[in-house]
Amino acid sequence: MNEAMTVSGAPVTVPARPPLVCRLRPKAVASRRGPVPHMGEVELENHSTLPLEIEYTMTPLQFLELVVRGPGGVVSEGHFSDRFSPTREPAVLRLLPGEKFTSDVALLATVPRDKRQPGTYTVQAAYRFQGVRVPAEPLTVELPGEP
Amino acid sequence: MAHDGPRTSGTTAEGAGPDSIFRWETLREVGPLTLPYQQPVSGKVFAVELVAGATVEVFRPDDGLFYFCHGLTFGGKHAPGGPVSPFSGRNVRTILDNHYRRVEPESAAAPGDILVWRGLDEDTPHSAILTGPAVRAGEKHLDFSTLVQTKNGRLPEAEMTLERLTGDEFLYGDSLTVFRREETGRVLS
Repeated sequence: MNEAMTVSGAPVTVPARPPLVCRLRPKAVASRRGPVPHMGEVELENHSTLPLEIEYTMTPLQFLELVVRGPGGVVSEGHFSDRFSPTREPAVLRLLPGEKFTSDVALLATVPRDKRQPGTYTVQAAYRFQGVRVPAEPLTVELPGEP
Repeated sequence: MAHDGPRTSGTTAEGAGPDSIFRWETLREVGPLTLPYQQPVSGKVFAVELVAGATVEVFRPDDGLFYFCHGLTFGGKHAPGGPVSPFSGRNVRTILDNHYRRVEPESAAAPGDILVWRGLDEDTPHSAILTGPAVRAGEKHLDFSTLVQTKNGRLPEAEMTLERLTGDEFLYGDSLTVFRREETGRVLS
C-alpha cells in the first residue's frame, strides 16, 4: 500500500519508494600503470524487503545511463552500454534486501575525447530497473587546463 | 621505449581465408536474438565448428554489417555471407583454449597477437588486436602507448592506445592477457 494516514485520518498518497537505490561517488582508482583519472563508483542497493534480480548479458552496468553536462550543455554521446560485448547466456545479479553491488565506473566514459575541455562537468547517473529510471545524485568533475 | 616492429593492419582477411579458425561450412542457424543495446541490434545466433573441433556460438546481425570486438579479434568479421562475432565468455574461452597460447611476459608481445580482457566470473568483456606494442626498458607490461585495433561494442572500429581502453574512457581495466595464435590449429585443417 502506497498510502500513509494523516492525524485527521485523511489518506495522503506518498510516492512509492523505488526498490533499488543508485548512488554515484568519486573514487581513486589505480591501475598497474598508475592512477586512472576521473573515476567513480556506482552503488546499487536493494531498498526493498524482497530479493531483487537483475538479468544481464553484458555487465550489470549495461542499464546505467551517464549523462554529462559541460559548460555548453550536454557533451555525452550514446549510451554507456554501447561499449560492451554480449555473452550468449544471461547472468543474474541477485541482491538480497539491504545488499549492495558496487562497480568502478569512468565518470566521463560517454564523453568523447574531443569534447573534453577544461571546466566543470556534471555527471548524472541513472539506473534503469524494472522499467523505472532510478537517478543518483549528480556528481561534479573538474577538468583542469593543460599545465 | 619504442613500438616494436612492423604494424599489422589489424583488419586482415584471416577470418575468411585458409588460416581461419572457423570451419565456415559447418555454420548452422540456432535461432533469433536481439542484442540489448539502447538501440537494439537484431540478428541470429549460429553455431560453428572451430578447426580444432569444438563448437562455438556466434552472432550474425540482420543488417549484415554489425560486429563487436570478438568478431574483429578472431576474424569473424570476414566470414562468408556477412560478419559474425563469437559471444563473450565461454565461447571466447573455447577459442582461446583451442587455438591460442598465452604470451608471457607481456613484453614479449608482437604485432598480430591479441589482447583479451577478463571480467566478472568467466566473462571476457573485450578483446583487441595488437598492432603496435610498446614496452619501457626493464618493464614486463605493455606500455599505455601500445596501439591496438579495437571494436568497442557497437562503437566504430578504430586504432587506439591501450591508455584509452584501460583508462577513463573505455574502462575495460588492466586485467588483460596477451595471446598468440597456435600454429597447430592450422595444421588440423
